[in-house]
Amino acid sequence: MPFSVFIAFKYLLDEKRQTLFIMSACAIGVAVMVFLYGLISGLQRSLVDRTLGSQAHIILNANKEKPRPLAEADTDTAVMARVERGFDRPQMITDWPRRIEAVASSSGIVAAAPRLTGAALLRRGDVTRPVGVSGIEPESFTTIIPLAKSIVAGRYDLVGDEIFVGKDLADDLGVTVGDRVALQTRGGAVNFLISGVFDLGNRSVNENQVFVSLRQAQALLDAPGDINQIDTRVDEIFGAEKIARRLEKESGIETISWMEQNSQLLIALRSQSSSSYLIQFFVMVAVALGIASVLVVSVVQKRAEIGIMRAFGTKRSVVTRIFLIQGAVVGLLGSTVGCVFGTWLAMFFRNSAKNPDGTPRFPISYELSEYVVFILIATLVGIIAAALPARQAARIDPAQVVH
Amino acid sequence: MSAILDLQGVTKTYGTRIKTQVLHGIDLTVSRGDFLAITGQSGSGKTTLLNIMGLLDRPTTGNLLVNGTDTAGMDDEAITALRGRTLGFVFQFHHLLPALTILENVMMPMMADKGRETPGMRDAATELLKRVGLGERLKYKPDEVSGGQRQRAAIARALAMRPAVILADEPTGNLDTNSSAEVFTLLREINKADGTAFCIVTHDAAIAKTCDRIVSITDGRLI
Repeated sequence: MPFSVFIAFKYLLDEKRQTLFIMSACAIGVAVMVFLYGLISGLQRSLVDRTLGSQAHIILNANKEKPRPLAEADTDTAVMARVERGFDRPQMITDWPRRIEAVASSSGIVAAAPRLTGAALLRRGDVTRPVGVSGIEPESFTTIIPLAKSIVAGRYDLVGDEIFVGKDLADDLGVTVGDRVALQTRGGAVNFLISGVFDLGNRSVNENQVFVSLRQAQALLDAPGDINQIDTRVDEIFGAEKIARRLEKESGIETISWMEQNSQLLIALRSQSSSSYLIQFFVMVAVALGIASVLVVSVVQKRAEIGIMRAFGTKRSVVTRIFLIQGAVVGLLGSTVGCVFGTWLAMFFRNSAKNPDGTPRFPISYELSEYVVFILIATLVGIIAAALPARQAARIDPAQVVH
Repeated sequence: MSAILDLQGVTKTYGTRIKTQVLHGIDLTVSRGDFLAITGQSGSGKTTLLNIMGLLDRPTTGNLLVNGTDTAGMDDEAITALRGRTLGFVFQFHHLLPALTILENVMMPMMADKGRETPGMRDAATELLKRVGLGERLKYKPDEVSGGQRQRAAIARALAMRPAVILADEPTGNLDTNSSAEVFTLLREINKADGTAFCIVTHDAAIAKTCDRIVSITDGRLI
């Protein structure tokens, strides 16, 4: 064992109470960081999951028809024109099976599915509700949005004239699986049989969205063989915006990511993360000051011992290392204990407050890599905190402190 | 016989604005086998002289040669290595490291020199402790043995690197009469057996008289 490590451990073990004190300070600091991280990332993950539970990560929308003047101006003729935007004519994505294949094989994309969307009125007896109609292929669609898992009544299948309605819409209309409803468009009304009731955890979607098979939607919306949207799922959700921009460039189709659609949510999440980082930073500063102050006192107490080691041939660099190692060991062991304690605290917190359905009120989320980061940060903080006392120790002049 | 330590016109001045000259042109040599007493009143410059001889401090002017090599141009690292390998120290207070056992204290200079414990180091330290009569106290901490035993452990530590010279500053100053006599006898035995030179700073005229050579210092000058 190197001499510096040997002496550092001897000092730590000899001053057990002092060592325990600074290690506890470090452990508590890291426990606060771990707890905060677990809580905030858990809440954020839960929020994002809930948002993305009813939304594709990236949507490729058929380009909208751009309004244009009826007469063009040229060098001889000036045209005074007031260009009015026409009504929203549905544009379609041409050659979509090939495009879906290309999108699905693009880097960062894990799944892609076709969708035809439009508006309709849903009628049940005398009651009418405006709804968004989505024509989907159930098998591919559920890889984008977990609709199959969200079926609370009936089955996840769309055969012939079958339809899925949201839980809130079903409650509102007083319908359930096996009942019939009609979808009214400009082309007329078509009857559908409710085969499933879904709950995507989003009231707006549950109230205003219905799903039919792609073929039925194409017939209903007068778009035979067409789709106007490609939904995708990405492997890294916070990389969606970057992938969206790339896809737009590659495909020439207007693309929007969930991050763009939920920019306010993202700002809120970022603000929350920033405040969490700020708290963690100040906790680490407090830990560093604690370690530094204890080691400074230790250097003062050990002036004569350091002087003796120097007199007997110990180099200044070795004296420096003795104190840096103490800082590192305190940071390493303290943070390891802190990780365990912080996780226990977070789990206790999670299990002590539950929603009526039994799910935790405060979801906690951890990743192993984060623990490694916390331990590395705390060890580094320990070394940095020990730098000043170590420098102080190395500068001790043996002639001044022995005799 | 060639000198191990050779001080040539050494002076030492402290302070920058108000200067205090503590040593004035000291010429002194210490050779193998010397048993030298340095005596003088408090404040006469004994400790400063010992610090310079022990490479713990540098002269303001003059030269200090160790085994014929001038130390003036050496950097701190070279001086530290030279000090560790050539000189041993025994102080009035034992200054054993309380966190280490008696055995580890004796191994400390060897470990500092090599950077780690190497084979044979533990046995060598054990032998030294046996020699000073502490063979049964290897695992004891310094606060678990008597004052005389601590000072004997400090002597064993001073011998760890087989130094050519041991500088002892009032080595018996903190001990009772019996322990004092025991420690002094031990120093003499080592001097005779190994030829290790000793420079002993002492107030005790009786001890000084038993040394082979007495150097007296008054107001920073050897007389």
